[in-house]
Amino acid sequence: MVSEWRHALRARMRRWVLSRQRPARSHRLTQNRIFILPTRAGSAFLLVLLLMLVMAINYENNLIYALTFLLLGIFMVAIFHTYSNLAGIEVRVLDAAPCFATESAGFELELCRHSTRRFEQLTFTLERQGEPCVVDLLQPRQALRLYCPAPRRGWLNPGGVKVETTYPLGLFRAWAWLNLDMKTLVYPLPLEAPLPASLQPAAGHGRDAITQRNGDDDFAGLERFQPGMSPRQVDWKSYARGRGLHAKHFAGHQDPDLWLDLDALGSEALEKRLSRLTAWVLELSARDVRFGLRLGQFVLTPARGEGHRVRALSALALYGLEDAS
Amino acid sequence: MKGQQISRTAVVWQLLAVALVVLPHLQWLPLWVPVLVVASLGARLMIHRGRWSFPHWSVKTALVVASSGGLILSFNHQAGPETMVALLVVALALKLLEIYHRRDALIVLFVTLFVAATAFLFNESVWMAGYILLVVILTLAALNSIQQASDANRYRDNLKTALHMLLPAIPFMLVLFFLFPRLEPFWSVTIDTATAKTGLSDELSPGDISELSQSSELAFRATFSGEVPPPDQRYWRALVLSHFDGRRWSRPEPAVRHSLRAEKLTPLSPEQPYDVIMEASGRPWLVALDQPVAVEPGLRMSAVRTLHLDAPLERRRQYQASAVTRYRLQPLLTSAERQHYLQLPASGNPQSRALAQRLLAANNGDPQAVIRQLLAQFNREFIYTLAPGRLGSDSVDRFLFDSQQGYCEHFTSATAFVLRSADIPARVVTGYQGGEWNPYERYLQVRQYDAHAWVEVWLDGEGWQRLDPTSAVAPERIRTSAGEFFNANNERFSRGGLELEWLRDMRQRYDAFNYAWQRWVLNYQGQQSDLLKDWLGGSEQWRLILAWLLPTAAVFGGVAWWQLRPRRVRIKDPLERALLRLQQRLTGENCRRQPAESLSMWLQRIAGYWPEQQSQMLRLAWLDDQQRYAAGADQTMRTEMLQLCRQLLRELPGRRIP
Repeated sequence: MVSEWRHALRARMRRWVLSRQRPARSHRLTQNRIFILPTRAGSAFLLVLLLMLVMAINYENNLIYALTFLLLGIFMVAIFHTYSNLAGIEVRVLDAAPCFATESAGFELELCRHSTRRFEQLTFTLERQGEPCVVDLLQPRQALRLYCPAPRRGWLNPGGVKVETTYPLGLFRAWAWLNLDMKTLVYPLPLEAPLPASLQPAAGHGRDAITQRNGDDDFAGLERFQPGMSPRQVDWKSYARGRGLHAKHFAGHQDPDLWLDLDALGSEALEKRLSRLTAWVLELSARDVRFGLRLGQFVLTPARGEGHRVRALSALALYGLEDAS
Repeated sequence: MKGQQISRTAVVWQLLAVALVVLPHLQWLPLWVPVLVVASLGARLMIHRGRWSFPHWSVKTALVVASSGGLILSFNHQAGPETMVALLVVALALKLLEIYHRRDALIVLFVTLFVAATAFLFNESVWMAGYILLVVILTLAALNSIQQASDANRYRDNLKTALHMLLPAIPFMLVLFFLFPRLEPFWSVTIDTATAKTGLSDELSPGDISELSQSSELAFRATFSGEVPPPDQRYWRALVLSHFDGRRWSRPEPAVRHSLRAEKLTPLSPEQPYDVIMEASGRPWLVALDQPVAVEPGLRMSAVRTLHLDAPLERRRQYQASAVTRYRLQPLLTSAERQHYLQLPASGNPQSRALAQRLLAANNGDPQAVIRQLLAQFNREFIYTLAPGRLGSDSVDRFLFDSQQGYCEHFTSATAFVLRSADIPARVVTGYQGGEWNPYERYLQVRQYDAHAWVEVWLDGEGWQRLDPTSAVAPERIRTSAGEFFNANNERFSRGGLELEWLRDMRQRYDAFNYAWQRWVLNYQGQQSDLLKDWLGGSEQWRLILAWLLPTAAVFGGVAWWQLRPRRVRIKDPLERALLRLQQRLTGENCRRQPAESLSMWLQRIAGYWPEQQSQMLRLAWLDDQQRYAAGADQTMRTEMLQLCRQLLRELPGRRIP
């Protein structure tokens, strides 16, 4: 009951703190962000001091008084040391990598210190669960990666990031909530299934077809090589002659485009169909085949390459969701 | 937090702290406890070094059962501080065997701190205080170490952190120590120190005080706020003995004691206030300078002007009193009182009784003349010595007519006996006489060998007068302190070797230091209100709060500044430093170096803004690339770069936005 109540209070406090900040790519820990309270160990320490004080009073022993006051002084000094173990650190978002549903999304953060101070034992926790990550900031910069479980497709916002520390004595916990602007897309979980025959690139197409086509005369010309094109298409001879990288273009043998269509997959559950499509997008991209994607109103014209794959996966991730922005 | 593993360094710190905190307790703990502690420390060390593994739970259970049994047997259900400390020490020793996580380590360290505090119950010396401070530092280092990553291995950092935290706490402690009100104990406690103390007993028989003269143990120290009384006025009375059984003087029965009227004192000189710190004597009386007139509340003054406590003095105690050196005490005696102070056994010591009658007859019954003649006789024929030899039965006769040598108790006892036989009321007073003046801390230090006994005689119209027969036979004993007297008469008084001058000086300084420690630290409480009034100009609540608040705020402000002060990264390489300064100089809207730019890219981009310096900037860019990437880069390039940098820094205007 008490723990529930405490939990609710903490959540309320967290929401209040986070609502006072604007989401940003980087935050500096300053006094209006950092909170500090004794830990359980700190309370136990105070209890020990209380017992010592009783002993001092009862035995009228001035040296025990003095020791008690000394330790109380250390307790107070610990407030400043613990606080300064957070103050001044800059936390920056480096990268938020997309992932597939049920995996964990990784968020890469970078810590910077703007002085020679050492910051030790900083614990980073995401608001939405996830393993805490403990780092020492002994260099000017330090990267860390936080993982957040991604149960569903769509945008994943891991919420605020909590930075906390109990260093150097464990008597106090200083913490700060940071509203970092980081979210990532979660693609649907790929559901492995063989490509249906209608979608099988015709024999002689795809990767194998390209090798065969080398002997054909339907060579349409050269186009400038773009990253993402298959190295098999590179015209190595012209490269050897010093004319730069070019890819062979076979205009005459344009394949009939492959279309991945959500509606054509029958009456299975939407998520299942999306998962299947995801698997096929991956498969086709791996084979470097041109394909188009039709998701209800949304149409992605046939293309290939890394950019196309990401666009297709993003469309699948966001299909039918509210926050498709 | 619980799951956190602790580092190997943390284990070492903890073992060190525990070993040191147990050390001072070893001398009184039952022998098996130190054995258990050493075994447990050894075992933990072996585990630490990977030779042994952690003990099985059955072993731990057996140890717990065995040591609980041991504690019950050793302490036999006594609930004193010894039992508590022994319990804690045993618990520490056993807990050492299962430190795995942070929480275990925290328990060990908190108990260590508590045990450190208990050390002061048994020893309050300044050495112990220093030692415990060391233990606290080690414990802090251990606390710091357990908070670090489990692979951290930085002993020096732990120690540095501990000191950084300890130092600001010291002024905080001092302020609180002086301002914190000392409360009355919640329940009464006694510490069983169990050592027989030397000191005055409540009887006086021949040889008692000469025995004490062998002890240089401290009896008490006194300070005077006014004038210090001269040596021959330093009579510290402890007990009045008015009952004689033929050999031994003692206090009358309690019933008789309570029937005596409180004696009336008319002061003839101003009151002299003084402070005494009396060492624990194990007896329920205190000393007071002749004659006490006022004592602080809490002390009882008996009818015969001696100070008493309700319980034996088991701890050092500080108290205030004041005295008058000239006085008229009890000028009238009732017949019952007169009877009481003339009491003698029915028979015994016939020669002394005869002497009394002779003296009385020779002086026509004038008591003063009797006293003068008796003292003159002491002065002529008697020897003052520490080794008077044994006296048989009728000790007064043997002393007066056979041996004729003795120490103060012999003279006192004989004088009182003779006076009583001559129908003059008399009584024996025991206490201390003299003392050594310490010039460094300005106090009088009285040791056990200053113990003394003298006579009080009642004269018609004048009341009780002090009569010290020792002053007749050895006046220099009264004029100087006993220590000096024995030194000067070393051949006659076998009291060890002669003290060298510088040794004596050293001893006095050391003693002065100890005294200051006791007065300002151990017994700080009585003088609190006066002292604070002097310091703060008053003792109102707000002054106290301010006196606490201001220094505390200063200390913690200092700590906060020290912790958060800007600590710029210092670049050692002069070239790197110059390049950084150049970049800091050129921070205009368009010319700030972008994170993705290399130094040479940046210089090439912005060189156009300053046509005059363009060539130098481009040269610098080229040189930077060369010295970074080209083979055969050498020091001359760096030197040239440094020169270019400095030239640019001179020529380029600060912060101008092109």
